[in-house]
Amino acid sequence: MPNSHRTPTERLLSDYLGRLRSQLPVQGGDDIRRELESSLLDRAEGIAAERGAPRADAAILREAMHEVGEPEDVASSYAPRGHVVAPEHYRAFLVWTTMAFAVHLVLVGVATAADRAIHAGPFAVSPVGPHGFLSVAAAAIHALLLDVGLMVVVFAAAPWVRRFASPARLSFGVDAAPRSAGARAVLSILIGCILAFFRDRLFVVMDGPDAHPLFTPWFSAVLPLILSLLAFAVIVDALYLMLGETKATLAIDALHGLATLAVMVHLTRGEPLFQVPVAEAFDSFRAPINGFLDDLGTLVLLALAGVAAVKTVRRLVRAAQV
Amino acid sequence: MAESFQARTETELRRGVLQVVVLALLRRRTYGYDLLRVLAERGLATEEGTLYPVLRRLESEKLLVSSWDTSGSRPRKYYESTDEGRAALASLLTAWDRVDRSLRGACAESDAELPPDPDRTTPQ
Repeated sequence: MPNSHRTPTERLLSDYLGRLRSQLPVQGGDDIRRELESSLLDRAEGIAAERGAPRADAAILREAMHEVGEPEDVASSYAPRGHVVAPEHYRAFLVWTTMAFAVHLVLVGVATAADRAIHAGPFAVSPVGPHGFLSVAAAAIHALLLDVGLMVVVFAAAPWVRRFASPARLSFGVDAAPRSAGARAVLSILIGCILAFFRDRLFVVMDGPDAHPLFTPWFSAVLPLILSLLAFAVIVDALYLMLGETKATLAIDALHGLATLAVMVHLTRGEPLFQVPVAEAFDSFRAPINGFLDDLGTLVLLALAGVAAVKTVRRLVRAAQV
Repeated sequence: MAESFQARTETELRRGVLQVVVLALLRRRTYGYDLLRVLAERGLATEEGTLYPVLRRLESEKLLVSSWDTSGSRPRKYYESTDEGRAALASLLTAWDRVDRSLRGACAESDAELPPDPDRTTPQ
């Protein structure tokens, strides 16, 4: 209804509820607004009845609104109480941020001593600039901001990473979950079949009749290594299914972890595993695009290597406990 | 002006007890504004911005159920406690008893003066 057709009371109520609704959570906000509208009108009617007034006019409604409170204050009590980093994880966040900052400072020192940047995939650590204390302070602040930002992303965006990163979990006393071994075995077989089948069958078609294979010759060369790793995983999972968690099965699983770690590190040292051909018109973008994808691929391989290393240690600790 | 320790502590006590009182009052189906009025009559005056989020939280924990009644002069959202809500209330009142006894016991040891133990009917 246009504002011009409304009574002052209706306009007053509409304005209040409009301000309220704009501050409420998206989910359930309409229901909250409707409930508060009903309560506000009941309150206004109560005031009118106390005064012997026939109905709640704009003045009485304004008084009722004053008693209820400003819409922004009322809406704030419905705000979800979330944290970017949950309070129970503050200590772990501080510990890991401090460790990352310490490592970062060491790398800055190494880069400065070597007088060249240190590259690790898409990340680069530059040496300190030539302006003495100011450059040192700037490098330290840059490192701190980067590490704090990285840890906030880790702790806020990935709950499972948060569980891993908590110092309380450093005991690695988690079982190998043999119940999921069957599912893991099936998944390994599936991945192996997909990789083997599509090795020479995935193409990217650009301009004209030429079709470019997605995977490089290097990928074809290392594919048997990857498939053996997957086959090893299937054997390990089959052992878990048959024998459960024993020192032997856990030790073999740890060996698989070591093998995975070695293969992943080996893959990072080679050529890119896949390449995206670029149309001739965008030829100048070919190198940066494929360079970025290569760095991304290296990061993924390093992450898998890290996971494999952790898995190895956890299996060995668990083997000692069994 | 800074709120005194007494006022702050009393506010916290009221806030802590509000959920228990709400569960007790909602053994009978009622709507939000009526609940506000009854709380004010019982000396626990509170505001919409305090009560309604509590009601929503209790409902999300399945201790209350709500429904809109559009048959009256305006739509009203009615609340009523569930079986889980009644069980929670009984458990909370037992806990309250324990706290009350501990407080009176501690004060008796230190000879502090306390008001006499008020009569309270146990919920059915």
